[in-house]
Amino acid sequence: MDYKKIRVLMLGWEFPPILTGGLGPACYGLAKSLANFVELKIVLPKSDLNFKMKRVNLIGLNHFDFDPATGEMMVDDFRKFLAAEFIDELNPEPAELRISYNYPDITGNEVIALFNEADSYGTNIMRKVQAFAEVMEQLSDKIEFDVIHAHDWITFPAAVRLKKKTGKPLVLHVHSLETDRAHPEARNPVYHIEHQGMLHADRILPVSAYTKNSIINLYGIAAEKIYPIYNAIDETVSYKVSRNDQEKWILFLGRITRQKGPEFLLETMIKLCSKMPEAKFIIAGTGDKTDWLKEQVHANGLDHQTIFTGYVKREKVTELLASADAYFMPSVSEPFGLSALEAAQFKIPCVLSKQSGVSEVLFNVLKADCWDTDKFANQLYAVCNYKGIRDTMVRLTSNDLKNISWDHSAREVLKSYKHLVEGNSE
Amino acid sequence: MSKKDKKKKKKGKKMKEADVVERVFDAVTGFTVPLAAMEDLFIDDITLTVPQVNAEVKPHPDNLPVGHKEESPALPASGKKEPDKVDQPGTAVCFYFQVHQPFRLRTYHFDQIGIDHYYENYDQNIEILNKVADKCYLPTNAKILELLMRHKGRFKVAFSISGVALEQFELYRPDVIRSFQALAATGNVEMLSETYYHSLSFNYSVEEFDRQVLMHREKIKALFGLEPAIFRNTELIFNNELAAHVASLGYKGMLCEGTDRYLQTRLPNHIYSSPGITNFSLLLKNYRLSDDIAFRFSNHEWEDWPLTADKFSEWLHKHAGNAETINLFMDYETFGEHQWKETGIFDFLDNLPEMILDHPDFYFRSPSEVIAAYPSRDVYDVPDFTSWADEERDLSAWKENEMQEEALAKIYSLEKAVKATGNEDLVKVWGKLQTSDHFYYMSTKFWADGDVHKYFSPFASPYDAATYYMNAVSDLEKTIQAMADLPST
Repeated sequence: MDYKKIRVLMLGWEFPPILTGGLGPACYGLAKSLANFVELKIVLPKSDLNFKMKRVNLIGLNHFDFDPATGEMMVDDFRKFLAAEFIDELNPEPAELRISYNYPDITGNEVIALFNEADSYGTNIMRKVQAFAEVMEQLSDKIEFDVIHAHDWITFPAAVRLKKKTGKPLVLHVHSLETDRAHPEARNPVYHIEHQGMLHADRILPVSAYTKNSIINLYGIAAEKIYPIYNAIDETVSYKVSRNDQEKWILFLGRITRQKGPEFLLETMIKLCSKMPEAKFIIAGTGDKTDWLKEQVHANGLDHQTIFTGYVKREKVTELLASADAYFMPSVSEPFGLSALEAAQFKIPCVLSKQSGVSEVLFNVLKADCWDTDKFANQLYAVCNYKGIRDTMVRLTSNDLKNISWDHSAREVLKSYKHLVEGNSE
Repeated sequence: MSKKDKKKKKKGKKMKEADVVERVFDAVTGFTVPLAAMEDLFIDDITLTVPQVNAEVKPHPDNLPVGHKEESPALPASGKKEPDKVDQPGTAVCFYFQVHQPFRLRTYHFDQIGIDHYYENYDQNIEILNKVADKCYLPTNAKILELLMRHKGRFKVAFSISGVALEQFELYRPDVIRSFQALAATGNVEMLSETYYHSLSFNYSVEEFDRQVLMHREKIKALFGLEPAIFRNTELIFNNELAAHVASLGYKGMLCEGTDRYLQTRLPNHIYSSPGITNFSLLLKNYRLSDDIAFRFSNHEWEDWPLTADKFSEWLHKHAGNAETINLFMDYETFGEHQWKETGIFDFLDNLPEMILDHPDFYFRSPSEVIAAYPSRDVYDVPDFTSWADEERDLSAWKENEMQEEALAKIYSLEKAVKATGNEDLVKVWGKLQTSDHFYYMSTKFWADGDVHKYFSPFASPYDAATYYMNAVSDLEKTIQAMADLPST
């Protein structure tokens, strides 16, 4: 009964409502469920004070000021970071917070400016990562915690420094790797940050077994400390938009970059469209391969069977999901692939690359190696033309979704915390 | 003419049993004994004891081998046990083995629809047939033949061999056909009737069912000279309606699963009848004892592992006085294929008949003999379809999910059109696409955790199986349409 909750210091980068990619929603989903089991404080380079979570303290470094007189970073009232529950109970009075800052390479004013930039990444990302680590190290004196949990490479330098300083156990959460984003052969500074971080980690939690294998094979990290934690998705009310055409809409949703397999998308389109004039590919998203893809679509005479929507907002994404007949994700390397879960929620049959984490939790989707475009074309043909196959997939996928929840994932994370903090083996 | 005299009349030198077995199964290497010569040899030795059941309980007359001559019964050579007495029929052990191999489909892609009309995986079908022939059919047939000879008419088995299996043996492994012919020629092997394509046709078209039953009868007669008197439907699929229909075709009985659902507290170890049908007997599979051999034999987790002939016989003998027939029905591939040679399954088989016959009240009987020997004890009322598949013992392995339903509906929707073309080749292609295995491969019953291995399938997933099947049927439909559009000549 007297069980004392484990105190977790979580280091994040993207977080709602400030979102750029999939990292923010995943961190939020996990944090929300974790808060039921642990005492959770999340430090971010940038937060929105209007965004509050239940029982979770969200600390945004962009809300600090630099006091040149004392050389300190300061906030006038620390309570602005606290969840409502903690303000009333524990901290009735305003409390100023000051931490010293004397790092010569980046001035205090620059740090504040960096954290207030609109783009949380940008060309000076390395400087932001460095500043985050500096401030974090000082701030850690003011926070009580039992375990450090950091998300992706941008927070790894800060996390490793905290571990070195405090000796607290370090959990690294891997949502994607440089070898996914750039190239399997990439050995750039980001790769080395990931590599060093993971060497220091006590536990590594990748979002899939697929990513676990990359960590073992491309980073040479010991398999024994890697425990996949699958991403999940909150339940939603799905709906269908009926269309009056005879077309079969195949939805590609995501950035048009090498990682998402635009070459394989094109090859599949060429193979399918010639045999299936009613097929229409809806390509939603942008990226550095957009122009190339448009040229190729045109050169292959597929203009009338293709729609490029450009960047789509959240509401439009939902509308596309409600209208599509099939979801297609030919990614070259997809650590997880959350949008496939969204498509599954909208009861669309999914055709997915085997090089994806989500294909480990959805059993009733069609899968092929990303380069096997013959098979992709065949699978898309099947889901568009054979109702029985489509109906079976959709019905059984709904069952698969029932087994995927943030609560389940949070419990798995808790096992790692307990092992590290209390020495419990699971 | 005495036995001795007859022997003298022979060609002078008598082959030893072991020689015969060896030479018959040298067929693998190309050496074969002409069937007629085998009959000569076998019948001489074995038919001496064929009517051993007794004068009244004979094998079905149609079941006697080609060239069989009526002879007066003689004592078995060993003299260890008297022939059965009709007033003491004791307990029968009835073995039936299913032999079936489908024509598996290839990864027939959508872009071949309308272009390529060959759907089968030629290489894989030959590969599997060769493997099963060498691991199961030939060695097990050799063992069975040896046992039939060793026990001189006191060991009996029944086979049901699907038409598509026979077709593949004829195409790729005629030696397997010859080895089955050798078994049939002993007179102690009963051949059962089934649908030629091992299909679910009764559930969709009675007309097509009747056509396939007839096709299969003709095939069995042509290859083995036998006219089956007993029927078994694909995967023991059964219900009252089917029983009534099979009875109307003139069969004396049929085989089915002994399900707890419809047996309730009764045991499967008696002859049953179907409600309202007279002179038609049902043989119910004893699934516990059958599955001890077929599924559990090599399971080290099983508390009764290892299963020996001694132990199994003891279990059977416990039923003495209570059971009239213990029906052990299983896939023939149990021997050497599902249970590898290394598990000791052949030694088990080798010892089993002797151990079972050790009990004075136990006899091996073929299904026809069982039906002749015992009256029906009760009515087995099965309104809904049952089968021998899975725990559910229903149709759910073949028609449960939407893609199975779609595929089945599609293939049977083509019946009228394909028959109207009058093109026999096309009707054959259509028939082969009815084989139940195609729909079994589409089952998602155990797919929830993505476990491929629970279901044997040539495809990586049930969705692949459905996709390639539907592509093939789409092409067949187009071909039929094209034929129909041709101007009639």
